[in-house]
Amino acid sequence: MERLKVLIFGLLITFVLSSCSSIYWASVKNSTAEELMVKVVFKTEYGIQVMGRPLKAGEVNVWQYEQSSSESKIMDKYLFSIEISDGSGCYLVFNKEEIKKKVKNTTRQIVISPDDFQKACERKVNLNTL
Amino acid sequence: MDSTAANPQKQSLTLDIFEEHLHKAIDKPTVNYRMVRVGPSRNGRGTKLKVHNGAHKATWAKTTINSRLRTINIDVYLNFKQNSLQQGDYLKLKTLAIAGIKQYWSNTITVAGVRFNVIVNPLHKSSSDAIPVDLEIEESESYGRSMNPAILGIDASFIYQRGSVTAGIPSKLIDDEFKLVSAHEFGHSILVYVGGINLSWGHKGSTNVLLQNVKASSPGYPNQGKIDLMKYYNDTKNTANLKQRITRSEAIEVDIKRLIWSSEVLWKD
Repeated sequence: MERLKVLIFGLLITFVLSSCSSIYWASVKNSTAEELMVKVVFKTEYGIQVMGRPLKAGEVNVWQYEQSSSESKIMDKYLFSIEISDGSGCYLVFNKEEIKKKVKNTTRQIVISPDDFQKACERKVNLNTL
Repeated sequence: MDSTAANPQKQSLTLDIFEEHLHKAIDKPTVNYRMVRVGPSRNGRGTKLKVHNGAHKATWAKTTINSRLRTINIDVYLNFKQNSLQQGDYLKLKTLAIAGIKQYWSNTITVAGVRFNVIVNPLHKSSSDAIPVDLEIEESESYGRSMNPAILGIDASFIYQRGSVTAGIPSKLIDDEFKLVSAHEFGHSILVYVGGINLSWGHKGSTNVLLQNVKASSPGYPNQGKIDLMKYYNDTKNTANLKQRITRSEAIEVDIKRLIWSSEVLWKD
């Protein structure tokens, strides 16, 4: 009888914990004036997943993820980095820390601003002149 | 060459042949009852019972098959409830849900070697023999989870994520996602009817029945081609964005056959 109680209690705990997970939408928005190639990189126990697609000016790429409610404030825990490039060869990477900063004031949306790209292109010019 | 000459069944397709192939395709008995042995009885031989398989008894679907034109029209009835929604919102959500079910459930199927064009027509019907659906709006940025247990007269709830606009999600995408979700939730009524809670709540074996979480053994989203509307995929193995899920999802052939199996059938030669 005691065993049965423990089993039922265990099942209840498992049920409560797993039913506390929620669905979230995360997105990347291209707020620059040009089309960009945006690769959203995820790192999971199965390896690296890349969700890459061109984003036109103003376009948004949305994905859905499920996470426990206790992690509700955390952006998709599997999101590893975002790699962005344009037609002229400027290249930019947001790592986990930069993504964290980016989503501080927006709800799970990473906005690629013209400023971000200007910096990336300046770096490219500097590298080329070395 | 006459295409029917290659397949004589095309010329002689009858309702009986259609039924036989349809039932086989979804692993159901080919007659309207099956014999089940219960027992053993006192003399040790057991007793046989006729168990009706329940085909074509759902009150919320009616199918018309035109064997000559090779078209199948399926009217499905849903009771979209307004509850506290404003009239404008109610009409918008009802229109989107109807469009979504029609879009994702209309397809082509092959029965007994004959290709049929299937059109699913969702219709609003405010009576108890329709699938009861509460149309709802999630006004916050949190994602409201839609559901359709399809048992004990519990209403389905189709939730529109209006609050996500403030999180930067385009309205068009929210509309399209609602269409996809409506089609998926409608599908639960079919799966429960045909295969019970295991098939439906377990998303055809891809999730745990009660906890609804994706099984570790489930595959990731396919890299290309169609996405099964009624399955969950393990996105830690391979992910897909919302646009891909919207454009590539569809009700697969076996599920459309399950819908026909559920519904009352009218055969036209």
